[in-house]
Amino acid sequence: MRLHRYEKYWLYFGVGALVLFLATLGVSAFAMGFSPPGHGDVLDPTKVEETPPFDEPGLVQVDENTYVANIVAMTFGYTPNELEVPVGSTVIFRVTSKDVVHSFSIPKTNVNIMVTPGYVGEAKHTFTEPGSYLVLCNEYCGTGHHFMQMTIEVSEP
Amino acid sequence: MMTNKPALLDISKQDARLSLAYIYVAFAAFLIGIIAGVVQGLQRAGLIHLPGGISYYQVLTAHGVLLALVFTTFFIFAFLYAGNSKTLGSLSATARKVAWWGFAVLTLGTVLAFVMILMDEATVLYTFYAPLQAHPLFYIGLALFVIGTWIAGGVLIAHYFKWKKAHKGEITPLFGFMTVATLLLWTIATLGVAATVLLQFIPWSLGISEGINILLSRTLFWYFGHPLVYFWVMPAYMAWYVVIPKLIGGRLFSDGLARLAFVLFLLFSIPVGFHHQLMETGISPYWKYIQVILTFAVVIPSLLTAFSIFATFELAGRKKGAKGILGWYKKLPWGDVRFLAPFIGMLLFIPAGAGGIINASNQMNAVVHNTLWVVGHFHLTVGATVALTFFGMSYWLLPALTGRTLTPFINRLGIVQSILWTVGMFLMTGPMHLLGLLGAPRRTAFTTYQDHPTALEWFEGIFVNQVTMSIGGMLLFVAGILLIFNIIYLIFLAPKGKTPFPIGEPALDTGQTPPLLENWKLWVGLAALLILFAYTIPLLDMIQHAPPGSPPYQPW
Amino acid sequence: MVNTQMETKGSKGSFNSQHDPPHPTVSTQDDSLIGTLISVFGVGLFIVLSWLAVFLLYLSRG
Repeated sequence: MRLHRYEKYWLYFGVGALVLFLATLGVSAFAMGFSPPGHGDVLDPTKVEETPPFDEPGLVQVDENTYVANIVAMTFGYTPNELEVPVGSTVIFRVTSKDVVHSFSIPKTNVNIMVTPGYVGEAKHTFTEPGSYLVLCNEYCGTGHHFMQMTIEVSEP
Repeated sequence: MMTNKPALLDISKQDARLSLAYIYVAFAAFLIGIIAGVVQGLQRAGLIHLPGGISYYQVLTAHGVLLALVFTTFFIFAFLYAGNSKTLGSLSATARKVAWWGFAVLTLGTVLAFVMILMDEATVLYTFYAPLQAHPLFYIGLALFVIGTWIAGGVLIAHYFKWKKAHKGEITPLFGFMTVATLLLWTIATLGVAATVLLQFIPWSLGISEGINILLSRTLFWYFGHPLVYFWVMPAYMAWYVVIPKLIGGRLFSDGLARLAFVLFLLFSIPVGFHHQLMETGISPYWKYIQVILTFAVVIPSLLTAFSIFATFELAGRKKGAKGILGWYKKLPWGDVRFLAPFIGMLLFIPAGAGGIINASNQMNAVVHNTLWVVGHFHLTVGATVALTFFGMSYWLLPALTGRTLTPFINRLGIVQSILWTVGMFLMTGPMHLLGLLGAPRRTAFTTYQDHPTALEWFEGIFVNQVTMSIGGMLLFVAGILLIFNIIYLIFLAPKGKTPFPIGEPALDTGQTPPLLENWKLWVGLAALLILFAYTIPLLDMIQHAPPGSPPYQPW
Repeated sequence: MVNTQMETKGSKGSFNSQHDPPHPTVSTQDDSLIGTLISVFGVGLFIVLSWLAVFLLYLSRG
């Protein structure tokens, strides 16, 4: 079994491209902090309403421009179902589910969290443009799946 | 039995009958599956309302299960049984008996699961994620389906090793080699889905166990879910490597490289399931990244395949006197549906593969995860690459099994059908990819999210529009119906005659193939090691650090 | 697989020997495969460009 010369060129190119992709992703993930979600807190999925901070879901200001949003997902909606932050805010979303698997996804941003019951999914986003941001569930969760939404109002200061 | 008639079949009549049984179930599932597909497509675009309380999600479940699982699996076994009967010789009477049992168990499981879907007892989509809970009979149907494939696959694996034993020192026929690689991959992969169905879902749905470990069930599902797509792709590759060279009057470029590609699939397509779970909590980013690396390794056999296929075409064209750098493209049999359909499938595998690499790119998955992009991606892989290859195969496999011939008229209809399917796929998957980048979710009924501007945008473009997607779906439906007409003609009405099962002659370098490639113990052992490496620690972690189990939900 | 060309299915020893002359030294090294090279590099270029496009989109949304 001998490799044709041209096939070698092709494999060098192909494998080289793959290695380059992986290196770019690895550096951006582990050195620059753009990692996908990893280990998160666990809680009893049947006792979400009694477990802090999800007993009082909502927005908590951490410092001048940073907020933590504790959100509970359920069939077929989110609590709270509207958030308001000034433009330029960084929001850390912490989301869990009371029942089945949902998602917490904001189109045109990189916020796209799987919300598995028993786990807290986390993502961070800085809102640099004002406007009304749609949040939707993109994991099938039952008959009302397509009604599951909330909004984030990002207002001018 | 009509033993006195001249033999019109290329393989033994009994084996052909077994193969045909699989074909009947495959195309029955295909017909119902495309009806469900077009109905959900029209609903999703807001063009129709479903009557009588039928839910979008029930129709979608039927579409996914029937086309992605039933059509593919049954067609693949039809192809594998016929091809191995041709290249390794007829099955023994005992083997054939066991094979029929496999078919029976597989079909029983399929019917059971399908009836549960029809009764709206299993509107859980084909991924059946916990804690959505279907009727126990749905899970029992799935278990029977898997057991049926083990029996059916075991017969073929045994058939291959019997040949190998009787031909010591010889290299095994390429078709049989590829069959075994595919079936070993399937068997190892289905251990995951069998584990979650038998140990988690069935006890939980019967009320024996109270809660379910969701993350574990999803992980076991995706341990199976990714090699599942290679179980669809590998038989298509078999047709490209073994059958297409014959149809274009050429010869496979290299035997050793073909075998190497299949061995690499066996090694690298299983320990990669985390790339479907990149956005999930509970799995460490390091283990995700390790599986991303392994996922990229499984691109390599496809790179090898791309070169082999182009080289096979170029050598065949040059043998026929093609001039210039790309003149050999003109020498390919464009007017032959048996070539044209799989060729379009190969072309569409280029964007499909590019999309796949993007999906698996760790943090980049956030852009596309669970959006319509993903739906576009797997319609390009399974619905275009694999399906068009299977369609092209049908135009010789069915006449070969029934002792009939492909007529010029059906060949022309076949070309029309292939082109219609291609245009439909373009209009459907193109918008899907772009809408996905805009954040439109997959598996979601018609909705404008209370007329939110972000969602209204999905219905405003000319091309990037859910309605365009649906128009593509309608063309696909018409093409599918035309295919059904063609196969009915080929099975029952076409003129009698002998159609050979086209098997290409061995590549010129067959004598140089390293015997190491046939060392199955080595490859299965290495595959097992890679799986243990990629999964042991994260799996223990998700069992030890599991939250309390979830009770069942039926929100449909 | 040579035996598939004959009606002697399952007969012994037909593989890789009877029809074709032995060809242990045959090599594809000398055939012109320049068209293949160009075709696969076209595929490679498409993959790299698509990947970069989505990677840039990812960065722009960070």
